[in-house]
Amino acid sequence: MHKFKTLEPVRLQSLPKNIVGCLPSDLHLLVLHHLPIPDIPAYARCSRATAALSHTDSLWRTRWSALAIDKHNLSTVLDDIESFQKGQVAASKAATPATISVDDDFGDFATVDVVQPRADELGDFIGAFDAFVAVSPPPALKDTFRSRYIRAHTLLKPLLRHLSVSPHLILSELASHVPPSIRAQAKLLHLLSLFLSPIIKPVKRYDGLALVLRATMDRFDANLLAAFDMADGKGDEQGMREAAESSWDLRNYGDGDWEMGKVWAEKREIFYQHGWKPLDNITKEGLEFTPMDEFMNQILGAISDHGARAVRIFPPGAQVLIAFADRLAIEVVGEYITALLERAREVSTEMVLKASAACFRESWKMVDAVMSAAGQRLDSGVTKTQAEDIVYRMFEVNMDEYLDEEVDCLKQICDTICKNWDKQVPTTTTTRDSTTRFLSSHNAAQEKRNVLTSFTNVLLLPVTIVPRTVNAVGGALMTGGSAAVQGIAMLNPQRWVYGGTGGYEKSLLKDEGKFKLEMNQLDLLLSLDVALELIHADREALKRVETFVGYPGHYGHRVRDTVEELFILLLQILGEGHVMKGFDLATERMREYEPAEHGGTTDVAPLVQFFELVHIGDMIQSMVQVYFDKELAPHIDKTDFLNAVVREKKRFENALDECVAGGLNAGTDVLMNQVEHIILTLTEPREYYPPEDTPLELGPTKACREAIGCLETHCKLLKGSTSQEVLEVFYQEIGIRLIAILQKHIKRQIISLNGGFQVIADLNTYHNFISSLKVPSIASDFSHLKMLGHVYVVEDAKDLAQIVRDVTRYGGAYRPEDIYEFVQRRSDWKKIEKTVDKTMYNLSFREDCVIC
Amino acid sequence: MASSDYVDPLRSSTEHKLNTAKTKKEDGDQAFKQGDTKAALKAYHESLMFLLGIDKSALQSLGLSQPLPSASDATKDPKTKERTEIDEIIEKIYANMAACHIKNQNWKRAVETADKALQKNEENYKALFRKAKALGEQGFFEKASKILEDIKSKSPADAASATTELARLKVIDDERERAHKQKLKGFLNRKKDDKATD
Amino acid sequence: MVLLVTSDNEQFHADKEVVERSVLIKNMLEDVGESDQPIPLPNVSSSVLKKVLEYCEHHRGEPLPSAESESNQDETRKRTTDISEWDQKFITVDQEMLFEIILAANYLDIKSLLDVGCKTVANMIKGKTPEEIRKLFNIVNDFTPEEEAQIKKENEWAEDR
Repeated sequence: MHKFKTLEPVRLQSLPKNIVGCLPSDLHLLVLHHLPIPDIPAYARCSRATAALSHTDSLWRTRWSALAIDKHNLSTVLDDIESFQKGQVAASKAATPATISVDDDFGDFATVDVVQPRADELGDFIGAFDAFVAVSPPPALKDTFRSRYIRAHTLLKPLLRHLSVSPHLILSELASHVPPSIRAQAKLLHLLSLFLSPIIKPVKRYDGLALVLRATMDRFDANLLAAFDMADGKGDEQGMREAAESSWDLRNYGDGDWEMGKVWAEKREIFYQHGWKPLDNITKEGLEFTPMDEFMNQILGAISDHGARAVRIFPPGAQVLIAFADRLAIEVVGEYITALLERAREVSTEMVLKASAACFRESWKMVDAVMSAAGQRLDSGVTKTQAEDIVYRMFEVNMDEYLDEEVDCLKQICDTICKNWDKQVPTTTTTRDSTTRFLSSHNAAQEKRNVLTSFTNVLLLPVTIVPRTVNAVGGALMTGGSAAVQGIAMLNPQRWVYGGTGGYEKSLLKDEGKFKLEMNQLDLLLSLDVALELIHADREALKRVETFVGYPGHYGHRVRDTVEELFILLLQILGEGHVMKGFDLATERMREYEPAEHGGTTDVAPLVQFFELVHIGDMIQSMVQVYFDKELAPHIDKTDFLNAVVREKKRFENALDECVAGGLNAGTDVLMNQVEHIILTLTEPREYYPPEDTPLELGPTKACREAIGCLETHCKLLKGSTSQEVLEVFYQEIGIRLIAILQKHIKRQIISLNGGFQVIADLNTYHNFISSLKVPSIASDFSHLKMLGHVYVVEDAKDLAQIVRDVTRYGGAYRPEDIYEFVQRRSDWKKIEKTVDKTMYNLSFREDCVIC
Repeated sequence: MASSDYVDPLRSSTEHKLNTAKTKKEDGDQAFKQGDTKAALKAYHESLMFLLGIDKSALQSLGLSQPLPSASDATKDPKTKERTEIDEIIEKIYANMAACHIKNQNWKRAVETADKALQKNEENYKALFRKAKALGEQGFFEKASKILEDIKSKSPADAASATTELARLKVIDDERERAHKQKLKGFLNRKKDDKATD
Repeated sequence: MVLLVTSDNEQFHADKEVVERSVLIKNMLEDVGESDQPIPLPNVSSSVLKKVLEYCEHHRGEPLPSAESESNQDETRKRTTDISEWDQKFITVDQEMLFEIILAANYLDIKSLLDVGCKTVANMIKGKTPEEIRKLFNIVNDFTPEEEAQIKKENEWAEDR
């Protein structure tokens, strides 16, 4: 006895880490991890060192944690077994040993324990006796993992012998060790299955026993299922819950299949309910989703009814609600949608698209329903993402087709819009004179602002995704509410133009009423109406796609790509199919314009039309900008200049600018031809060589007035529709060409002294006009031209010669030779020619130098 | 005892390895001082190659060749001493390697090597500090601050640097937090916008 | 290719992918990069290294246990109780070599090989008496008879009846 005391485990453990035999101690430990429990005693008996090693706590921690007692909250099972055994012992002490005598070991134990409790043996009494022997954990051991494991081991091991009896008795024998609840039995079986694991290897033939146990558990599980079904039949939620949780406890189900939840879900009537009529959503007038509303209400009812019950009765870890909702989504809702879409496909592609978005929006209600069902329990463990994924997963099958079709369909719609417009153009152009709204308006800029404001307001109107009749009750879950119902009607420009008198007009703001008015009149080569129709079509598609924008993963990317694609498509069609075409046509018309053919003098019709076009082009661009800012900006990074959308938008703007520039070029030609035509036709033969007796009128000639009038009107028209730079270039071009025209014009005239004053008067008027344009370079050109008039009013030939030679007078714009040419147009040229020549060059020129 | 004949050459070979290892460690220390972390790491690694398996020589002396008389009571003491010296060097090498990795901003390996040093001696506060720093740099602010607080309470000598590092990490973490919140905020706003247009 | 030099000064050429099954060497290669200089393995003999490289070659390309699983390595180690057929054959060597391989695996930090070795040893212990186990490990019984009796009692709970 004395010697024993020297061998405290503590001392054994304090041995230095060392080589034990041929391996370092830490490798011994690794080996020990693999050693079955029954082989440990022999190992421990090898030497002091091995005895110490066999006590190492990390070894026992592994085995203890393999029992997962802390993790799965199984300690009650041990307590139950223990108290049961204590009860047995107590009972056996009291009772006459009638039954006990059968069990030799028990009798033996009873004698030893009761009669002669030996202090030194309490520590390791256990192995000495078979079966029921556990009384209390060895007092000598502290609370180490080893002691904890030993307690569990000694409590559980005796139960293993029940596994050798005939299979149908195993359950009842095991059950006698724990309180009579299926929950406790389930936990016991679970614990035993952990105990018989290859990690612990508690006994030598643990693997065989584990197989028996597995079979027993299966049988037990089957019983639970039957019990569950019975409770389900009676609507006994308590009973269901107990059976369900027991079955869950029985095995530590991770994410594997759990029979009970599946079986329960399978039995829900909703899966077998027929008679849904998905086709009812498609009426003659189009889509009308009231039937789907009703259908969804039943689905949501099923979720809030059965789903909520699932949350109440099944353990959270089983995620039955999600599985149920998932199945519901795929088998019922998915089927419904498939049938609906199939029918829609027979009608039209557009119908499919509308129906897709509407169906998705309808199915989305399941998310809220699932979440509120999950609210039955705080620890339901259901996340919003999981709920959303149910719908996403269900709808995924339709996504590829939908996204492809959406783009194709928009392209088709837009093409049709453009084509229809192209057909209208020839008929509408005849009325062009009455259509110059912007130009005739006092304040084009203000006008445009008004239109834009209206447009913006229209953009803010909601789009209805789920079509319903107006009085259909949207239900609490419907987003947007009834306000959204009329959104589509309001945004439809068709109605504005063709004067629908429905209720929508009442709800329109005043602005929009005015907008409508303008729409009616603005029929030109370019049409705001068409632009609006295109944007509307695009927006509708965009709004539909936006319904899906939350999609995760692959489809999320595709959805976002589609959003961009739609906008790019709009820009391409609007740009190439409409704006550029219109501009090209206008430019073409201007080229063909012959001033002589038209009676009117001040209006160059195609140019006016073109200017109007520029205004509308500008307007369209503004609309695109507003649309972009309001609808696209949330989806893309505006500052990312590499973004396809941003690039396409830039391209569109550039193309528009180019159109304007090209048109202006042609326009300038037309305008200047017109001006030249005016000057030519209105200048009287002797305008600048009046008969001597004509009273001198110091005002500009009619030709001059008319020409300037013409220029002035057109210059004014352009103001405010294009950028300042374009305007300046335009003015400059006008100035330069006007100078050329005037120079040519003067050289065609014969000018007397009196006429000279007329020339000066005209040139002054031109100069004033040009100065009003405020383009410095041409203004100075004209001031030089103005000076030129003086050569016709100088009487003395010698003075004239001086003037001709004085280059500085004209700021270097004219050389003496140039001036000389002008001087030749004097009516008295023949008389003064020699004097001038002589004075200028001291030479005599021959007359034939004159060039006309 | 007969075993002494065996032990001598073996021990000398052990000593030889130990000396090689020490030299290489010196090389490593030198290189580290000069800022050549790569050379330092190389030297340290090689030193470890000599040190780590040194147990094995003991295998031959104690295990296979000789059934030892009474579990080594005689040989235990010098062996133990030698081993602890080996352990000490290993601890130092790993702690230094952690320093090298920190210098190279190789945080993952820094944590790994610091852990190895701590396996030998969990009160190596230098290694502990390096581990905390590397963890903090990897974004494990909570783990890092826990360790640093621990250092502060247990090692007054390292408390000051631990406090500084703690403050530094806090700044970084706050920054990170703010950026995260910002992102979240943007996200929420957008969500709201989406709803509004519905 | 990596060059390794054993305790008995023999040189081994091996693919990087093969030798990197040794975490010790892998870490070194990662930290200092590859070079022509040999890596000294002063604590492995050529006969053992040959055997170890054979193992590494056969298992090349398999995923290494990650650093995270380090903490619960005991559990992952336990999970696979069986030794694969090839490993079984590979580890069928004389006792001395078995222990050498285990030591080398420990030194070179090749977890899976260490595992195979330890399992094999555990299997060898199964069903043996203390005396047989002592023989296996070359352990000397330093118990007094009383002490041994005490230890026996202490562990009786674990015995299979």
